[in-house]
Amino acid sequence: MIEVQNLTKQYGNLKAIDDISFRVNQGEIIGFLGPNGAGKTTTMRILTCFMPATFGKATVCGFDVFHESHEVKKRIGYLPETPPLYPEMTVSSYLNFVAKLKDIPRDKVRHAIDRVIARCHLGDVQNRIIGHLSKGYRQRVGLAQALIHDPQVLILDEPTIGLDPKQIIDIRTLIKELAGDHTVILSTHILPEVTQTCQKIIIINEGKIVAIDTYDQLASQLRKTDRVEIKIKNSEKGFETLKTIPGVIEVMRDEVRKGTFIVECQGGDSILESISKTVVNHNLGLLEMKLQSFSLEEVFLKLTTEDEGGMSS
Amino acid sequence: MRSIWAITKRELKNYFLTPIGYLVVIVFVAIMSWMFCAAMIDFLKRAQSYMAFGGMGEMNLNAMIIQPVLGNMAVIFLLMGALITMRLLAEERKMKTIELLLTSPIHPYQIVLGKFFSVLLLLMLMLSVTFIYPIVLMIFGNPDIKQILAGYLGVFLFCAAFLSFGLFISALTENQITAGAITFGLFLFFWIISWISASPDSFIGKVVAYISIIDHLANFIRGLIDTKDVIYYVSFIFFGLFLTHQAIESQRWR
Repeated sequence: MIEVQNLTKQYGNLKAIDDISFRVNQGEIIGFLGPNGAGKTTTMRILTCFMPATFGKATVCGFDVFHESHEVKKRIGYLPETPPLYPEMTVSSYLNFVAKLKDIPRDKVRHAIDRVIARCHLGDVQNRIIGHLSKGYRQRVGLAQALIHDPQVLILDEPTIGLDPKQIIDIRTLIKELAGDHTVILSTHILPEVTQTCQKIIIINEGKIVAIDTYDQLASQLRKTDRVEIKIKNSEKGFETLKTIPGVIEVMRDEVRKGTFIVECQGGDSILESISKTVVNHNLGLLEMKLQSFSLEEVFLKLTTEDEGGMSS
Repeated sequence: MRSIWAITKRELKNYFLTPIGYLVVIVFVAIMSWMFCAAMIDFLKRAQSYMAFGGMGEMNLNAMIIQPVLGNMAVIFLLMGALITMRLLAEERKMKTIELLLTSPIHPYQIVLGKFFSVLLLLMLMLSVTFIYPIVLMIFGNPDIKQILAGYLGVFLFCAAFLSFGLFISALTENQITAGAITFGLFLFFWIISWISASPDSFIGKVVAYISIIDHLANFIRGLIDTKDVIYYVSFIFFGLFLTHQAIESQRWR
């Protein structure tokens, strides 16, 4: 659906993005993750034909973004970081204007507007002036604008920035609903966002791609050892017993919660099994046991601070 | 074509959703009405004095009312034109709505034409309101209507040429005030450039006279439609629109 090859964009001497390549399949939701100034917006602007790349090639739905930009633009819906709204217009007249720009056939304009108004829950404000709307509503009008011509590809630049938690959940649900028939690329610097909405993550830092993978894969590649949090009744005896299990590297007491240990071990699922077996067989009184997973923050920090993460696939 | 019209309509509506459209039209019409009345009163005074003292002056509605009023109309528009064009593209860039336009399946020339047509329509509205004066004259006298129409055509082309240039300046910056100030300065310069061509025989004098946008208006106002003058204005307009187009395109490469 989207293919990017060796894309580079230079502003003077500054390389905003440097030789990036990736591909996105139809119906996928891709999260574009990176700190501010990593090159997310630049990449999106190139994909939406807003600006040309210095080197490299990108195609959307099989059309080159530079040579066949008109075809690409017909198939892309784009929500820039600042929603492109005219504050003095009403929501419905604005959407009507966008519908004409996107060349929706005359007899389908009304239907298209009604569809996005329903989809983005704008019914209550459709006759209000955009300048008077709250940030959350404006963001939704921006999203409605991107969806109005039912594009195959949606590119959303920080769609949830500046929204309150409820609005963020609304927008995320909306984006998830779009998966399947639409291919979505969304950028963010908020980490939990990608785990919640995206199937695949592209981590970008200083213009270079650091990693492309699913969240689970990323976490497991980084995870050289497993960490198990275990809570047992007979804690004194338990501490000694846990240390003797083969495969266990270290057992740490949780200072705050009594009877809780963090067990660092190596060997995948079989070691987990033997830990639980040992605890039960020794009658230590197993109260709780769970696998600690890497948080995305840890993954992200590890990838962006390690030099040459070296794990892009 | 449809997207050009969509842009034109949105832009034109915008003039009247904000006070700027009303302001420009009202101020323009008020000043022009004042000038027309002044010219009328002057005309009547002279007519009275000729009648009372039997002078031999030639009385001509066209020469004494229409021509000076049309000449002034061009100058007044020149002073106000910057107000109309300054926000056209500067505001799109400031509000980032230019991203919507440039990522929609339309060509930059459609944006340029859409914007330009909207200011032309506003200009037509302003000029057509002032057409009341010739109508008043036609009711009470018999001015040469062809000459008036030629004069209006001239003023229209003159103003359109300025507007195309103002549009170009607006494409260069995202600050409306900057755009307005530069446009205003350039307009003034184009107006006073003719003051230097004191010796019309010298080469420089001829060049300056040709460049000077206001000199080409004189023939129209006298009722003379010269192809040379029409071509001058039309090419001026095309040049302005071409530069605007290039300015929009060039920003994407930066």
